[in-house]
Amino acid sequence: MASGWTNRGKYKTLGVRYRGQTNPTNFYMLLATSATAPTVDTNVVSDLTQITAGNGYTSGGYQLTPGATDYDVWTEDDTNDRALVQIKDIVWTASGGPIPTSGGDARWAVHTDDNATPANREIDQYFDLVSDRSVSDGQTLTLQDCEIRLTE
Amino acid sequence: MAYEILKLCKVAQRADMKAAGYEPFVFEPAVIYPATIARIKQVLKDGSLPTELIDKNLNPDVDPRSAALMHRSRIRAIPEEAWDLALKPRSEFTDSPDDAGLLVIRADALEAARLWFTRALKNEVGKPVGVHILKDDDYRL
Repeated sequence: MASGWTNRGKYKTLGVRYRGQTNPTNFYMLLATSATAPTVDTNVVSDLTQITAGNGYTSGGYQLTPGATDYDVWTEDDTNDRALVQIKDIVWTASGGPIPTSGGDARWAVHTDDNATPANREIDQYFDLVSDRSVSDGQTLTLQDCEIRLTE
Repeated sequence: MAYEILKLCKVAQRADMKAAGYEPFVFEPAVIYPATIARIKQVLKDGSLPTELIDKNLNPDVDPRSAALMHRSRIRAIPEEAWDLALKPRSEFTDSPDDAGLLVIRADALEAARLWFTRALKNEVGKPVGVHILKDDDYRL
């Protein structure tokens, strides 16, 4: 599974921790198609192809607020010399039609900042959904156990 | 076999986690991994749905069994031998090509177990949780 941090995400995180930069008020989890696979060198949402908005999926993705509610597991792992934060379950319910409404299915989930323009949002991490995902009207698309891992 | 997650860990004295809104717990790998892997083996053997992974905070749009079903699918995809490998100390593996493949599936098993007990804890506590896994090189990935 090819999930991980982008270099931009690492850079911004260090900026907040050690340079006193301001953390985004919110983050987003956005769904992207298989048209372009994110890598460590992917910077912003416009580098990828977001799935078509509609039927319960809003352009820019699902909004997350920093804190215990939306990042509901915080782990210090001394056995494996790492730390982890787990994102709460994220649920999109298709209403009025399928998600995506058209175009490519969801192949990647990307964790972004909250730039007012979704296309300009910087990507911190990307998660491989393994295969193309879509749901019919009334069904849910759920992301479970998405983890942000920090290891040396 | 009962899987009582709160009996497999202790409340941690972590003021930082508490202040941030997390209920803190500390885990000894030599306790939690064997217990969780035993539970996983039981589920694999009898095909049951692990009740500890059924969601209690219900989203009306989501089947509360969905996480349990997902975790069960995950463990079924891991080679059977991986569960015993996961309980073998890391130091007993070498850098040989033969061991490299074994370490991969061993890591898959240990991570599946970790996600299992993390989810079980979160479900049981019903609040955000802080998890401190103590150092034990036997369980290193």
